[in-house]
Amino acid sequence: MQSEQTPAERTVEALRFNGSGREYFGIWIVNLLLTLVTLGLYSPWAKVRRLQYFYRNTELAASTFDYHGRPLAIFWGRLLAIVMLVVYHFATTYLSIWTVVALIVIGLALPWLLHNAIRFRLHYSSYRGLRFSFRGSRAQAYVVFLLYGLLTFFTAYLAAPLFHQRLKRYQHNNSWFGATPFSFDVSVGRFYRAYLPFMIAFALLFVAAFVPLGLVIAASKHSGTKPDPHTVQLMMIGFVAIVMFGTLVLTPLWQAVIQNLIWSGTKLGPHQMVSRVSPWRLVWIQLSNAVLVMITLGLFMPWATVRALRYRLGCMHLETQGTLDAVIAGGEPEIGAFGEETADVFNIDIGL
Amino acid sequence: MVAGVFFDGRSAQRHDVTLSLDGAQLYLRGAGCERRDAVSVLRISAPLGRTPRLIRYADGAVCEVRDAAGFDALLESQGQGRWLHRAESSARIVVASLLLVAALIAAGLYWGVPLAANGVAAEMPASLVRQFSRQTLDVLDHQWLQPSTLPSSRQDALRVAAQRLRSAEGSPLAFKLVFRASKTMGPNAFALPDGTIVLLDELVALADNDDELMAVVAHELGHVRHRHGLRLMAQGAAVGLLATWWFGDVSTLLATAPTVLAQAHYSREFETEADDDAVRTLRASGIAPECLATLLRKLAVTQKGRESQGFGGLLDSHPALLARARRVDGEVSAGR
Repeated sequence: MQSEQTPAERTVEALRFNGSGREYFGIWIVNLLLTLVTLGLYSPWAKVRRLQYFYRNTELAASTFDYHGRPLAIFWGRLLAIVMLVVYHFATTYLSIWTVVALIVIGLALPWLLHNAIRFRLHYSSYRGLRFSFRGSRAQAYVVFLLYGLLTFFTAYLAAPLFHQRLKRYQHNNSWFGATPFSFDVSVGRFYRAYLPFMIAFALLFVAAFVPLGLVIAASKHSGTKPDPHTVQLMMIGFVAIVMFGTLVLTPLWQAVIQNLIWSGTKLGPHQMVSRVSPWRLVWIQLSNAVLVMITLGLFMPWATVRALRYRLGCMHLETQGTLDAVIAGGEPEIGAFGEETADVFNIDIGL
Repeated sequence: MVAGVFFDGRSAQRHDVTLSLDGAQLYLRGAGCERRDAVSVLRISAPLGRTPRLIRYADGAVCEVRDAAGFDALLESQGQGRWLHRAESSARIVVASLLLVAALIAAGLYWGVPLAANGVAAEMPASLVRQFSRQTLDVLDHQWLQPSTLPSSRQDALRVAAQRLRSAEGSPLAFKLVFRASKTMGPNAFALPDGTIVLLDELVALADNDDELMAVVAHELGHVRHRHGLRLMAQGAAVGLLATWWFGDVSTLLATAPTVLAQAHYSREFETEADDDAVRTLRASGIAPECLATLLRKLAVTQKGRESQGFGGLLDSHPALLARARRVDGEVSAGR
C-alpha cells in the first residue's frame, strides 16, 4: 500500500564558488612566506586557512560551507605521514627482508589511515551549522583499498574503473549530512564505459612514446654506434609532446567526464546532485592555466586554482525535492587527522 | 543592527535574524528565534577574504553575517588572527611577501640545498656507500658497458702508475681502478662514491701517455674526495622535492624543468672543483698538471659538433671542454 503523497516542490539550487584570484593570491603568498620562515611548521595552519577560504566561498542555496580541521591534528598527521614516507623510501631503495616487512606494514596501515582521512575530512566540514560525517566501516575500507587496490595493480590498471567505482560507492554511500544519508548509484559498467576511451588513448600514447625510443636504443646497441644526436633530439621532443598532450588534454577531459559521472549519480536524501562540466571547456581552462603558470614561474597559480574551482563548482547543482531546511543534525565524535595527511603525502587523491 | 542568517545547529532551517549588542551580550532576534549570549563565550571567526563572518555558539548554533563593515562595527576587535587578514589584503605586504619568498627560494637553492646535501653525503654510512656504488656499477655494466679489451698487463701497468698519485698534502690516496669498454659512451671515465674509478678503453686509446690518464684519475679522485656523486644525488632529490612542492598543484611535468636546470648548474660546479683538485694532486705527485688540459683539448676534438647543443650551454653539465682546459692552464700558471 502506498500512502497518498503530494509531490514535493522541485527546485534547482546552483553551487557557486565566489573566491577571487587577487584575494587568494594574498592568502597564498602569506601562507607560503610563513611556511618558509617556520621551516614548514606553519603548513598545517596554512592548509586550514586555504581550505576555509575555499569552503566559505562555496555557496549553495544562499549558505556557505565551512571547514573546521584542527591545525595541530593535521600537524601530527603530517609527521606520521612523513615517517611512513621515509620508511617507504628506504625500504624500496635498499632491498632486503625489511622491504617486505615495511611494505606489508604500510599496506595494512594504509586502509586504516585512508578510512580515517575520509572521516576527518567530512567530520570537519559543515553547512548551515550541521556537520557532515562518514560512517563506512573499517572492514570495508580494507576490502576497497587492499582487495580492489591490489587487483588494479596486478591487472595493469585494467581493474581501475572497478576500483574507482567501489571507492566512490564506499565513500558516497556512507556519507551523511546531519541525519540525512548520501546515496550513490552508478554501476561498474558505466565506469568502464566512461574509462574506455581514455584507456585506449593512454595505451596508444604509451606505444607512441616508448616504441620509437626502444627501437633506436636497440638499433644503436645492435650496430654498436652512438645513435644520431638529431634523431635522439627529435624523439625527446616527440616524447615530451606526447606526455604534455596526455597531461594537459587527456587529464582535464577525464576529470570532466568522471566528475559528471560521479556527482550526477549521487543523491543527498531525496535531492539529486547534478554535474554538467563541459570536457573541452575544462581542457581550455586547464591548458591556458598551465601556460600562464609556466610564463609567470608559478605566480599565476592562485588565479589558476580559483578559475578551475569556479568553473568546476559552477557546473554543479542540486535538484531539491522539497526543502533543504528539513535536514536535521546527526552527531559524531571527534577524530584525529592521521590519515588525511598520509593520503596527501602518498599522493592518493581521495577526491572529496 | 546587523542582518545575519542563523542556524540552530539542530536543523538546516535558516532564520533571517538581526544582531545587536546589549552591553556584554549579543542579542539575536528573528522570526521564531531569539537569544542573548555573552560575547565572551562566542567563537567569532577572523575575517578571511570576503567570506561571511561566522559566530559560533557553544551549543553548535552558528550565525553567518555577510555585511563585513556592519559586523566589524558591531563586534570590533573580535576574532583572532585579524592581522593575517590585514596582511593578506594589503598590497604592500603582499608584494613584500612575494619578494621575500623569491629571495628565500633563491637562497635555498644557492646555499641551502648544497649545504644540506653535503651534510647528507658526509653522514652516509660507508656500508651504504659501498652497496650503492656496487649496485650502480652493476646497472652500468648491464646497460652501457662491456668488458675491457685492454691486455691485463696494460691494466696492471696503469694501476702501478696510479700508485704514484698523492693528495695535495702528500698522503697516498685510496681508490680502485677498473677498466671497461663502451660502444655508446665514447672516451670517458667516471668515479663511484666508494672510490672505484672506471676508465673506458676509448679514453685509454685517446691518451698519448700515462700521465694524461693519471690526470683523468686525479680529476675523478677529486669527485670522490668531495663526494660529488652522493651530493649530486641528494641535491637532485632536494630540488625535485622543492619543485614538486612549488609546481605540484599544476603539473608534475612542469616540476622537472627546474630540477634539470639546477642539476646541470650544480654538476658544472663540481667539474670545476674536481679539475682544481686534479691540478693540486698532479703537482703533489710530480706529474705535469698541463696533462689535464692536453687531454681535455683532445676530448674537445672528438666531441666537435656536439658541444652545447641548443640552450646555449645552459643544459650542459660539463662546462665546455675548451673552457675547462683554459681554466686548468690558468690554475697551472697561477700555482707556479
